[in-house]
Amino acid sequence: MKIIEKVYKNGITSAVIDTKKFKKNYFSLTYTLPMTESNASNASALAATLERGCEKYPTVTLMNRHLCALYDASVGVYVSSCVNALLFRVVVNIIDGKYALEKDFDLFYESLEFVKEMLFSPLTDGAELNPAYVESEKKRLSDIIKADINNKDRYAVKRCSEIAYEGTPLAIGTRGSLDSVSSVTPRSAYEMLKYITEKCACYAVFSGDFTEDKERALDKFLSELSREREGKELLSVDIGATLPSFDKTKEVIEPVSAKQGRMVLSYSYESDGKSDVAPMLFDEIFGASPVSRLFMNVRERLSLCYYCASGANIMLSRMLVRSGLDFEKRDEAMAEIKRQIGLLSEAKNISDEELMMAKKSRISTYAALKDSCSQYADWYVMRRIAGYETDVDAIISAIEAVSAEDVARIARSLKLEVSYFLNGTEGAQA
Amino acid sequence: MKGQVTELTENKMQILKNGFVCEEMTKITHKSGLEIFVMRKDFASAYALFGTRYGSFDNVFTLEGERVSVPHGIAHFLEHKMFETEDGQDTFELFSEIGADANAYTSTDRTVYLFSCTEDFYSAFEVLIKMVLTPVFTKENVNKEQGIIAQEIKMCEDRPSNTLHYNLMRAMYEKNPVRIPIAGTVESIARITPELLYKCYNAFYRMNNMAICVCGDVEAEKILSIVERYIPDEKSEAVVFEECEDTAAVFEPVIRAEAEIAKPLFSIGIKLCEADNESSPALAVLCEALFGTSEDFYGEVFENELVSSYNYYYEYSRPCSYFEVGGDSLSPDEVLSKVKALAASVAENGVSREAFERAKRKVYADTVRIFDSSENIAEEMFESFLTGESFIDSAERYRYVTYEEVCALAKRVIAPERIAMSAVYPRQRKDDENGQQ
Repeated sequence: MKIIEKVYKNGITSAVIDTKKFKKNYFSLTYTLPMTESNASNASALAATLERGCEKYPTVTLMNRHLCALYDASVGVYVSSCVNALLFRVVVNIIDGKYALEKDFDLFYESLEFVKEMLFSPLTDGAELNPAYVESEKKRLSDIIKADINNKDRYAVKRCSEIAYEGTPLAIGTRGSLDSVSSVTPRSAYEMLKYITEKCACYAVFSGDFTEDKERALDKFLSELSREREGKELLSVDIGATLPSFDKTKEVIEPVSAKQGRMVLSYSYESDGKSDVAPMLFDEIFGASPVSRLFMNVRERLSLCYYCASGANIMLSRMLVRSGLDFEKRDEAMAEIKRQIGLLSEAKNISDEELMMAKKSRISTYAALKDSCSQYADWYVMRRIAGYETDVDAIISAIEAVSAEDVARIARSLKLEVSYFLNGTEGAQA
Repeated sequence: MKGQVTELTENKMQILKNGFVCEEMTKITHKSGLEIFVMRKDFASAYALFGTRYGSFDNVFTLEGERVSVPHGIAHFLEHKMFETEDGQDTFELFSEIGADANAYTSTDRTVYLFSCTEDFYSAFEVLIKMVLTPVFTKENVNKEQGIIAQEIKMCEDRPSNTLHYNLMRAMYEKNPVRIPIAGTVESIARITPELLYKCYNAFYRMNNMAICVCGDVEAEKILSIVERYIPDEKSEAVVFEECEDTAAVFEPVIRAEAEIAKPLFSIGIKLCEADNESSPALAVLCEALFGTSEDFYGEVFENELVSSYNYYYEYSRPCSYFEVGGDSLSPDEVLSKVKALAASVAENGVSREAFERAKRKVYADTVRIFDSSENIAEEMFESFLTGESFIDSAERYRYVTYEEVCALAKRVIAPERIAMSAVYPRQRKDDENGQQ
């Protein structure tokens, strides 16, 4: 499965993953812009407003009816992040035209036409986006931000990350804050659209059966996108992040009505540049699998919780440990987590079998990446934007070369920066 | 159009083909009654599941003349315990040694054990078979699991979506066990013993109640040879499932609750009492024609900001069948009255031809997309085992659903007295909505 890249005159880079494995095709445009609260809220309000209607399909129902005619094509606009960058993404999922019930229905071409309508002919009122839609979407965004509390597991992780990255762009959610959402105006959202589409670096990726018809359609679509490139460089974001440093662990206990406590621990570790395989294997052995130290000890041996798992953010050299457990079992769980880190700090405590299982698991994950039309494409774009290795075979070779000492080194460098505990309120605990 | 049966060999192996979606699969009926479905696909990873027709719904059953009643949550508990081996080793470790990623789940009508891997598929498949065939329940391991599952139950109880769902089940059904969470309650799981677990295992983990579904770059013959190595030929007596008598009308029209949330959440259900297997494809189309995001109902509630998030779903299974529409809204009662108005109109007039055509196109496309994932394919093959429908012909089945069929079904299954709502309000805001309690 080869990836062919191409750079267009307007500065857009495209990548094509040509494969006949799937019955659908995937296409996305990813624009990168700096992460600020204002950008996050404007981009999120913009994304939602674009999905409400455009000149040709002015209501959400008319838009959806057209997409339904394209065999339930999914065309979504999303805002996400990659380290310090805010990503504005237009994502198309569509079944291949050969499965249409009509003959010669060029579904891919039609879906690109729809993207053009949505992005470049939005509903405007002169110099601003449709005010009613923008206001409605601002309300919806505020509701979503307020609803973070609904899911206690996610809320605890979010709160811990906010504390761990306080004062940096990494603490900003992809929707911004309630204040920055309220500052969005129909004009600022429209300006954001022009800024993104004309000035921000853009990466396009196609995955699926890349026939000549599709190649023509994609070339035409990408080369005709209007961009302000003449005489200036497109805006590119410094993806590196400056992280806060902690002299000692910051401990936060928050009372929230809940039947179960949620513990989230944020650790930093030392990594050597962009080689991400040793932390990945430490994560696997420590807490990211059902045979990990945390699962086998905190859950299975001590029966302290239903879940206790780790997750590494390779691009930030940070590791989160999260667990849902009875309020009074926090100290016991914490002691066991620390004990396991202590054990993993010495290579002699990591058996060949344990390391081999971790390697097999991660290699299998990479090998399976190409079984999904969209997943491989998304993974490729993210790694490309962040400047990480994109050759799956090279990553697999690097995984195979990791030693127990490499894993132990990661464990030794772990530093607990934030300890967050979602405690129940008195009534809920009783 | 049904898939063509092109070969029927002595070992009851059938090759089923569907030219329209360009797919082929093998169906094997083992002498024990076990059904095996294999679809060979050019994927790097293979996905296999071993499932039984046994879920949280099946708390009362008859086996060899004895009527047995067991505590709620036992099917899920049993699933957890199946990963233990006689020597105390966790089967997850055996899968991991091979590089396979294993898991299991229990729903109202099924328990499924599964794994995916990119190498050494047949070794992992043997681990799966041996695990499902070898239960080890002891007092010690049952006690240990009670603590873990109690934590899982508490975690779920903290989720407003969980409250919303089970209150909807309690509103729609008076007696149906789907009212109780799949994991049971802290009290019910405390009554589980090794003896009860063996009783349930012996009743439901019989080969004539089970199926194996595999998708990946694998050979059906090799899978069969492994099955023959471990699974005896003889058929056993079938367990008798207990039907659940419930009324056609809903039990309680509305159930309201409170939680630590920002905005009221609602879930509205329409009970489908007279749906049957035959009407299953038409049900999917009908649900889409009523609640799909291209339809008037969604347009009205969304454009008028009556809802901000929105979802819809249809359930058609042995324990229960219903349409569900949910989301968040400042006025759940207003959404409910709109659903009731829609139901009254559809029960009388059916759906519009345009809505029908759109819905059919959408459901058809959804089905085509299933063939892009080994996991989805295996899960759908198991679904077809439970319903008796052919998986490989599913896209074609939707293609041939007629307008008349969908309208007739709408008139038969939709009725205003079969509609119930569950709503969860933010703790201090319950009184905001028209003074309702």
